[in-house]
Amino acid sequence: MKRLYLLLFCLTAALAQQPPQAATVPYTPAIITDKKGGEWFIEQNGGLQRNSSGASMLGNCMMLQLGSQQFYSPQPMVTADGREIVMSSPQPMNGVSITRRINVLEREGGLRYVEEFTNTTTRDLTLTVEIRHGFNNQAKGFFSDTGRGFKDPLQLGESGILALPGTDDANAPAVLLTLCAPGVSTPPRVTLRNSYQVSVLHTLTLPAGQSAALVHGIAQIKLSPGVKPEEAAKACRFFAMPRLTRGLPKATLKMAVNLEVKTGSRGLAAWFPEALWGVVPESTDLLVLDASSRLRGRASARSAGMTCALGKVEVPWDSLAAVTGGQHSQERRSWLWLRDGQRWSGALDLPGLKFSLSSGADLELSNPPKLILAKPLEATPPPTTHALLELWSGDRIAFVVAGSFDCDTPWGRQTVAWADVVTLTAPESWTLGGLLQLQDGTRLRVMPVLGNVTLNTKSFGPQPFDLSQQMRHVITPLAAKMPEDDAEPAASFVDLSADQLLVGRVTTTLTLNTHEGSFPLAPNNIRELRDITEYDDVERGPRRFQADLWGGGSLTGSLRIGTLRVEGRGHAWEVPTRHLLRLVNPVPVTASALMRRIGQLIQELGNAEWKTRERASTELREMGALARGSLQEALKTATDAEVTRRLEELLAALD
Amino acid sequence: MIFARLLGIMMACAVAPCLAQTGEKAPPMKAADPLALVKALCDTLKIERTREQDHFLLAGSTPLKGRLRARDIHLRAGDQDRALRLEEIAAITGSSGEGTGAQVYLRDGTVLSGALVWKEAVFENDTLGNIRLPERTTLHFIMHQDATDGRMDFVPAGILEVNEGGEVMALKELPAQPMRVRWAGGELQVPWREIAGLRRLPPPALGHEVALKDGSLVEAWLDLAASGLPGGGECLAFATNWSDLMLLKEGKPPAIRIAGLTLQTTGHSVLAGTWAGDALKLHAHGVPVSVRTEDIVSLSIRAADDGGTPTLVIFMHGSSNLSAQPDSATLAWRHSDVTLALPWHLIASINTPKKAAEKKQP
Repeated sequence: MKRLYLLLFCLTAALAQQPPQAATVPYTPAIITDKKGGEWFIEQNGGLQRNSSGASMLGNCMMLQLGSQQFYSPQPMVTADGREIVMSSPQPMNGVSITRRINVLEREGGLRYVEEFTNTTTRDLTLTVEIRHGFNNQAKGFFSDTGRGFKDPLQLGESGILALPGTDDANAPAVLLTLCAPGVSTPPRVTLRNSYQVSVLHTLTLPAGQSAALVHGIAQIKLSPGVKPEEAAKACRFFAMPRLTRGLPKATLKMAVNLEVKTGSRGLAAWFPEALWGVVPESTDLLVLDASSRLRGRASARSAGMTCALGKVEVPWDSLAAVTGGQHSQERRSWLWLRDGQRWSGALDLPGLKFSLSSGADLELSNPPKLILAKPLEATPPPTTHALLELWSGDRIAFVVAGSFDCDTPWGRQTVAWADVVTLTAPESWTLGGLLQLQDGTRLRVMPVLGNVTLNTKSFGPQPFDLSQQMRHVITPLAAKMPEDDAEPAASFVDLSADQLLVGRVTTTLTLNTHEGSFPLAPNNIRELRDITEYDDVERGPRRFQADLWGGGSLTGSLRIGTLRVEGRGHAWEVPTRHLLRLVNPVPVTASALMRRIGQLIQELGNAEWKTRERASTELREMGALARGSLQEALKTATDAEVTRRLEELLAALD
Repeated sequence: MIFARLLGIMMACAVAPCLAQTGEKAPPMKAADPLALVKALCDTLKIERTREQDHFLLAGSTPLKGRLRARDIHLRAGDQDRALRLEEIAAITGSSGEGTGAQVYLRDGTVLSGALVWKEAVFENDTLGNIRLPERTTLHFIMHQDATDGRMDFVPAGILEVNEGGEVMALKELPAQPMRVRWAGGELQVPWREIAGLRRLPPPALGHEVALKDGSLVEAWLDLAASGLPGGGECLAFATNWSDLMLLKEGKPPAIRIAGLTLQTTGHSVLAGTWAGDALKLHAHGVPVSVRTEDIVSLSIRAADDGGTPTLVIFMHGSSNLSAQPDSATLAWRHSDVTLALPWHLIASINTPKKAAEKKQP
């Protein structure tokens, strides 16, 4: 009998561990009405058609194409609760299998699409995915979701477009297409065709066997006929990307290429590109005369140098990667590209420059077209030994990582040591600041202070630079050592507006105003505090936060306006609470008195009295994660069988 | 008296767009309604204020008319405790009781926030009798009109909205310290008397939009606490009059037309000013060119695809146009009394006012 119970228990436990599988049934297209009154008719292939007498701009929207092939699915399925429609291509299209997942966001009055692409081949693929939207009648005009009159590509900070109904269909709701996260590293190309059609083109690079996803959405919004830009922008907010991504599995979010925000991408590949001016170096030198004329051979000169804005410089021939003469570039500037990542523009000084063809003939070159020197034998990209500063002129200057610079943050001035810097970008118009990434994981919006900073350059000696005016980008040797993905820090941190993250501990007591009154929260007691404000509520009142506490339980309320002090490695910031999105303490900070109590209770787990052992177990269980570290340590050294069992049970309960 | 005040309001409404059209210098203080915020609240709640009765609105119900009575009214925020008289209140919204949040609109136009605590609060209604209000309840009250509506002991030098759902205060005088404006083009020290309005930009922006009296509009990070502005540096909006405050709350800057040259940045800033030099040194297809700045009607910037030197597209008087590249990395621009060195990548266009451009035509 006991065995039967054990078997049943194991079976139940095993079932409980399996992810819930939503039952699906075949999907039959029918009109779906959301809670805002919008009507949707989703076809077998995920396209949207107008299928009722109501006013609507929708003509043939959300049509998915891969190259010239249109997506179709022989049998779409829908979850039993009707929340998600799933459609898959019957066989791979151009080597890619496709699944579309469509969710009706009833409250928001829109649809969310998750397009999943899997490369089923054994080679890397670059795909152009087109999502085409047709309208019933000519759209009157287009706004970006920030209220800009939309004509051309999305600008930084923009994430979608709003099509306004034309005069023929003036009562129809406007159509909002949410396309990507604002500031995404690879924004889609958007083209308008005669105001009847919008094409959204995504270019994906999909390594063999790998998957990628696109998350996007469509909503119908009722707007007054003469809607103003700011009203349009306001109307778009409720269907912004954070709302679309809510509730999506982490795996999907990770796969989504149109959500990756440009965090000053360390992007070493851009600093050490495989192709120079569009030409990939080969094992011999290349002289590129034009698109169709390419000579192979060996280039040489008596010496190599350049006179540029920073002065005159001579470099070893072997350090050059490519050369181009002024009359061949659009800007009429000559360029030298060096193997260490530097590139300079100015007047070339290459006496005796000639190109010896493999056939034996020599060409004298006074002002060379594109000369791409042979690929070096050592591995590329080379490790950076200096930091590289890219100027707005396009020049890249190597400098020694030493000293510091001053910059303005949204909360005051900071001095930053170059040794801590991973990357630094020029200010962007949507946040004003550029992004400074530090080696501890901190990301901060900054504007370098106006005025000269002296940098000890590798090739020109000490030189003054006004970073606020001249700098476009800086990358330091740390960039090669840091992981490319922005994993969350293991130490305490706060997530802030505009893609900022401060690694450090909050030392200010937070006051959470709940329905039952105000509660002061010592920051160390908080496991995670996050903004849970619904987008509809943003303008109605203060933002709402949920605080999960280390001792167990959670509180919900609004934060009292004020500032937070965040103390990080060598820095302290006074941050307005209005910039706070999340506060995380991944590891609890346990007070010494509590530590002593935990130690005492662990000892009592081996007490002769059963009641004492039980009471100690109960109290330790109530302490939750605060006791985890001590329990783990105790388990390593426990010799008593019952103490071991109790410790294992407590830790299992925590997991 | 009422007619005179109404006329004042109407005049202000009629004059404001006219100023925007003609570019006339705005008067230092417009006659606008200090109770504009109360009016906006009434519009939201769909209640019309009357001289006779107060309106009481409970969630999900229609407004009740009658009279509110209460004693020992206090508004508590942090360590601050302010006693209020019922007669000075124009409206209340939010929740009453300790630990809650309410906004109290006073008859002089200012708005206070905090925990509203009162005793013996009763709403007298003709049909329902005396409704005793629980100490803790969610409520909206629109109080009756009164002769003291809109009266303030002083002429405000500025009006400040501190934060969302927070306070609106009238400033007797402007901060003496200039405001440090850190924008993409560098840093400006702007005296408060030159500021027409400012508003905090919605997220993900981190800064404010500052409207200057010369028509410039600059997106910037501001050091408000250092300039001595009340509210500890928190500022949702600042205006020199009530009507501009209402505009700012709608996300619109005060309408001031720039009389001279306009420099539009690649962000959303616009700078009034003038060329700091007589000529622009350029090169077109390798040929050095010098263009007199007084000959320029408009200039726009085309960024280079590879991020290199941008191309300037210049339209000149006499219908000449030129595409060329600048010799220097920055443009010298005279704004107020300061010469700014603005990197070309920051500039989208520079335009001459239409009339001036037409006058120059042969």
